[in-house]
Amino acid sequence: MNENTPFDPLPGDYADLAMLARSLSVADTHLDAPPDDLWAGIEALVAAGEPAMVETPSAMSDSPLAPVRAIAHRRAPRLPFLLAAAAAVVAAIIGLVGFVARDSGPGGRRIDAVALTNRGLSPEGAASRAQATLVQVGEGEFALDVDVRDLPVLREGFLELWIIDTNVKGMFSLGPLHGSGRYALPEHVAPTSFPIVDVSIEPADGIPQHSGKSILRGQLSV
Amino acid sequence: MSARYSQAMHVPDVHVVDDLEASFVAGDADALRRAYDTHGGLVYTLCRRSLGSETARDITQEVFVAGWFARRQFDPSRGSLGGWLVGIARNKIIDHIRAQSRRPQLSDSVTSADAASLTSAEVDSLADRLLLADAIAQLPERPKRVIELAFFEELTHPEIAERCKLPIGTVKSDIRRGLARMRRHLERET
Repeated sequence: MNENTPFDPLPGDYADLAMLARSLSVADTHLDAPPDDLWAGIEALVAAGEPAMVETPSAMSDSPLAPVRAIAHRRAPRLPFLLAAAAAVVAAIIGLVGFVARDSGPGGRRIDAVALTNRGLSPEGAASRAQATLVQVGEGEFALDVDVRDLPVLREGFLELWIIDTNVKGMFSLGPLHGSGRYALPEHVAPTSFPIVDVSIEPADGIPQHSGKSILRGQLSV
Repeated sequence: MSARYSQAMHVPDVHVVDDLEASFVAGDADALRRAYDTHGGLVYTLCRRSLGSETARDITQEVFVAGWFARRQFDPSRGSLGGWLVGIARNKIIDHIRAQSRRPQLSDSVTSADAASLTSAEVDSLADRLLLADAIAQLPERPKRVIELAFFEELTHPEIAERCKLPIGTVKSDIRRGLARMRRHLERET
C-alpha cells in the first residue's frame, strides 16, 4: 500500500500489526487513570468472594487463595479478536490507502479516522460508505478528509457534511458534500467536542438546519 | 546503549512471561493489586471510551474481580495478562451494550443511530488499538523510538538508521522484537 513500507523484511503475518498501528489515533496513546476509589471497590468485591461460592476467601489477606472454582466465563475469548479487528481494518483500508498517501504529503497531521456507515440511517444511503479522517492542517486548524463511495444519486436536494456533538445537540455544517475531498472545520471549533461525522440529505429549501435525514455516520474516537 | 535495552535483549522474543503474570496465576497476595496498577488504566480507558465514565467504573471493577477468580484460565504462553484482561473487558462491554440496546430508546431521527453505542467490531478495534499503543508504550526506549518512526512517521529502515544513528541491523531487530511483543499483547487465545 505504500512503496516505502518499512516492514518489507518482516514475515507477512505482521502486516496486520503494521496496519493496526497506522490506524492508531493520538487518543489511543493516552490512557486514563482510573478513579481513585475504584481499587477499593475491587478489593471489597474480591473480599466478598465470588457469588455462589461456598468459601469466602479473603484474597487480599490470605495467600495464596484456596482453590477457587474458576468463574464460568460464558466463553473464553475465542476467535482472536485481532482477526475481527483486522477485518474491520481491512474494511477501512480503501480509505486508509487514501490517507496514507495524503499523510505523507504536506496536507496536515492525521489525528484520527473513522468509517462512516449507513447502519440505522436512511435507506437512501444503504449502498454508501465513507471514511472520514481528521487532520490538523495548522495551529488550531482542522479538516476532515472524506473519502466517499457509492453516494446516492439525488433527484432533488443535496448532501451535506456535519460534525455533531455526542449529545446530538450542537452541530456545525461543513457544507455541501460534493464527493471525496477535504472539508475544513470552522476556525476555533474543537473537533474533540464534535466527534460525530454525519452526512445528510438536505432539501433545497433554504432552511439551514439538519434535515434529520442522515445517510452516513461515524464517531471519531478523539 | 541503555542498560534497560540490554536487559531486554535477554528476554525471549515472544513468550515473555513476566513475574507479575506468574504471580497472578499463582494467586499471590499482591498480584491483583499489581495487575490493577499495571493494567487498570488500559482496562478503564477501554471501558470509558466504549461506555462512558460512569459505567466504566463498574465494568472495570467487574473485569478485575472476574479476572482474579478466573485466573487459572489465564495461560501466559498464549498471550499477555493485559491482553487477557482486555478480552474479559471486551466481552463485558459488548454484553452491556447489547443489554442497553434491548431497552426502548428515543427515536429521534438524529439520535436513533448508534452515535453513542459502539458495535462489537468497534469495541474490538478500540481494544486492539489500545493494546497496541500500550505495547508500544511499554517497549524499552530505543526500540520504542524505532517502532514509532517506522509506524507513525512511516520511515524506511535506512531512514530510521540514519535518523537514530544506528546500524541497519539494529533497526531491523528492534522492529522485529517490538512487533513480537505487540503480537503477544494482542494475541490471547489462538
